[in-house]
Amino acid sequence: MTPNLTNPYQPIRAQVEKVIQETPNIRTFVLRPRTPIVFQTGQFIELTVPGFGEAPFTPSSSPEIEEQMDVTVMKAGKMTAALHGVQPGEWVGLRGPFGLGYPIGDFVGKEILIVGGGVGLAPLRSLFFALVHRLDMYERIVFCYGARTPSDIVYRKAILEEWPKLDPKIVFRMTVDKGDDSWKGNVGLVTTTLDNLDVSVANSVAVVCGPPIMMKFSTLKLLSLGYQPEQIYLSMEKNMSCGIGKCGHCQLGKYYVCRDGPVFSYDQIKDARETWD
Amino acid sequence: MVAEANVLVIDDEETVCRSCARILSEKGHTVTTALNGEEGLRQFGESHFDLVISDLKMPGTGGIGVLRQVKERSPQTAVIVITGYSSVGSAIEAMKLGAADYIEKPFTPDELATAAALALERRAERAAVALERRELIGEKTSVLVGRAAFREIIEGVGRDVYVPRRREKGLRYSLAGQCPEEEVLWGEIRPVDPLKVFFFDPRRRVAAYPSAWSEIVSGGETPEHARVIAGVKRCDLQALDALDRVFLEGDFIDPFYKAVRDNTLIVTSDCSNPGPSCSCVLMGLSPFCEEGFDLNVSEVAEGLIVEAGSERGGKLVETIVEGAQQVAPSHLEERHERRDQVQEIVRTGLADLQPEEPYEELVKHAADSPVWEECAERCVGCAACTQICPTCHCFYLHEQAQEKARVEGRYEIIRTWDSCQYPAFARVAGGANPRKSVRERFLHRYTDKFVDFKEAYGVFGCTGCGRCVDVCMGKIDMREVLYKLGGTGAARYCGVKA
Ligand SMILES: Cc1cc2nc3c(=O)[nH]c(=O)nc-3n(C[C@H](O)[C@H](O)[C@H](O)COP(=O)(O)OP(=O)(O)OC[C@H]3O[C@@H](n4cnc5c(N)ncnc54)[C@H](O)[C@@H]3O)c2cc1C
Ligand code: SF4
Ligand code: FES
Repeated sequence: MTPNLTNPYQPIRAQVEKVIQETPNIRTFVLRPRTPIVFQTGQFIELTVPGFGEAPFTPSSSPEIEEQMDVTVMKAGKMTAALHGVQPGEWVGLRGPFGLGYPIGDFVGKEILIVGGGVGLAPLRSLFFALVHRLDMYERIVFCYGARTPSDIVYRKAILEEWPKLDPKIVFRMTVDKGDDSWKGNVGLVTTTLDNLDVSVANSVAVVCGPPIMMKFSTLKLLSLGYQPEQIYLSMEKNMSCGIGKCGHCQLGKYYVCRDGPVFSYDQIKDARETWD
Repeated sequence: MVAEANVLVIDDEETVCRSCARILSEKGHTVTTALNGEEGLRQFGESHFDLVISDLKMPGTGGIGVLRQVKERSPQTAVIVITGYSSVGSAIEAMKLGAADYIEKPFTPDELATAAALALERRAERAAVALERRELIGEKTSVLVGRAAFREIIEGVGRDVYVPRRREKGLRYSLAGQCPEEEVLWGEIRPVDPLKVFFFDPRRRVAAYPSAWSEIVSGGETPEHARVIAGVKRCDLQALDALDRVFLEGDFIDPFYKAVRDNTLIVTSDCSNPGPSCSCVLMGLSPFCEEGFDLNVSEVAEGLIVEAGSERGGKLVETIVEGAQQVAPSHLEERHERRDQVQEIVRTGLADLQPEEPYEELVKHAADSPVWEECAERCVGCAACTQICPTCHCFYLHEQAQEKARVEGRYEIIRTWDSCQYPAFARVAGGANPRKSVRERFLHRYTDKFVDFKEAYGVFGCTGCGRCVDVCMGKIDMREVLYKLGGTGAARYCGVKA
């Protein structure tokens, strides 16, 4: 029996194999857990920096890869600052996976519109890998991504150069809030990438992940484009501690985000009082 | 429709026997006949019969004798008597003795068939009711014992036996070994501490790493010996059910809660002296327990009625032999009266706090009500209400920030009670917080207790124990808040207590 089956609070050790500086305040950590952690894309893990406590993160790597796991982390507070100080060769603790990920079984045969902002790209990269792995099953992927400035673009090389060339079924739409001299692309909020979409809305699902304000306006925009609430999937970010539906921190109305989410269809949470706060 | 039955027909006239057999066989029943009472009773002793049809007037043992013996040996069996015109009086006597019906000679095949069908149907109904009763109460073992004898029994169960003890500020769960008999109070009211403290420690180590977790459990932190908690009241038993749903249901089971829960025998007891904050009745509960316990104790004049509510409890009751009496109907009657009386006291105390609408509806539709601001004004954010609440289960996990840990390379994860009433409870990095204001946190607590917890777990997050009313620094009374929310009269004012 693996330890986690009996004690859901017990982390296992994971070796940090590589640290990639994505942007000035975002790093990707390539981890090798002591025993492979099998997850579904969109599920999350709790990561511990010894002595600094835990925080939830969504693996940004493909769920097909079991021995290794990437997490992409923005420096945002105490624990994440400590994590940014962790060097290759050191180890961290992991427990999980927790929650319900993207229902990709329901995406089969559809045009998938991905809308990401900032570090919200982390789970979307994992989703993207999972979709690309069986690209034949999906109609098309339209990937919209916005960053604050060109230097805040995560997975920069991949997103600007590699992924758009993968397959004609994959389309990228990029924007930055504020450009600089080197930036030749679009300037504007991520919602502008949703203008003039050539997606057949009826046969589409939209997956949104990013800062709360970005998710709110993207959702409103999608609704105005004719998306039904049940066609829109959101990754809800709430304060978390246990990850297993017991500690109460992540409560959102009748849901516990860690247990019933973090991915929700907008239909599920549209009437909850604290959805956007 | 009654299925085929085994029927015994007793009549000294062979033609009657034969025609009865024919009529009833046509209806699918299996019929045995006998030509006199003695023969009939012999047959009755040899196999099982659902229905006996017997002539009243026979030489030797007559119908009344047959009836008496049948009823004595098998009360479930239905009996129909056959009478001639002249003996209707004895037929009525037979009815008094438990006959299901009587038919007068001569009768038509239809009359016989109908009477038989009716008798069998009623018999089946009674059997079902009896079965249900047995399931409800019959299987529960109850005895009447003295207080000292009962203490001995529970003290024999394990090392940690807690009993309700009189202390200065109310009842406390106290280790039985240290508690003089006269201080043990079985009735009264809930103890000061919520029951959760026994199952969900305010602070405990839940993991250590990088070493394996097995060390933690075997580290003597989880009691492996049996524990008894006695004197649990209805409001707290209900709260335990709520906590079970949180910690024992779903994909992840809390191993610490489970270990203690499995090792603990719960002994509930009837309330006898409810306090001013007692509100079980408002939450649809009674101040006594009828299920969900291992043992329940009800005080009556002659001693304690001890009732088993689980297999574990049942086994324990069976061990009570010395000094135990059978529970008589009069004891149960006394218990019933006491319970009614206490319930009435609680109800009366709450008479002008009961809003017209159910709490759930009130809270669900009142998120924008100004009542929240008004009432939250007195909240000092101390979180005493959630700490003392028997259903509040929120916690956070953190590291033991010790230098030693870092030096030794061994880290511990500690679980500590938390509260949604603390400002940073829902705050996320970057500063976003859905509950920045006292009003929002105040509202959240009510919404969770009366709406969201119920939707998530199927029971209310409040059991009416009233502890939060007792401990509030701002003298906020949840019941008054809810009453005011209902807008019914607004005779009372939030937070202003006599
Ligand atoms: C399901 C989920 C997936 C996430 N995935 C990622 C990801 O892939 N990459 C990334 O950079 N960030 C992610 N986050 C956000 C990340 O968890 C927070 O940035 C992180 O918890 C901040 O911790 P801190 O100690 O640095 O901040 P502090 O402000 O010092 O927070 C202290 C503690 O509060 C809690 N907390 C604070 N903010 C959050 C938050 N936003 N969400 C949950 N708990 C919080 C944590 O327990 C944290 O340790 C995710 C959040 C959730 C809920
Ligand atoms: S609330 Fe009811 S069950 Fe609880 S102590 Fe008071 S009277 Fe007893
Ligand atoms: S993080 Fe503890 S309940 Fe969701």
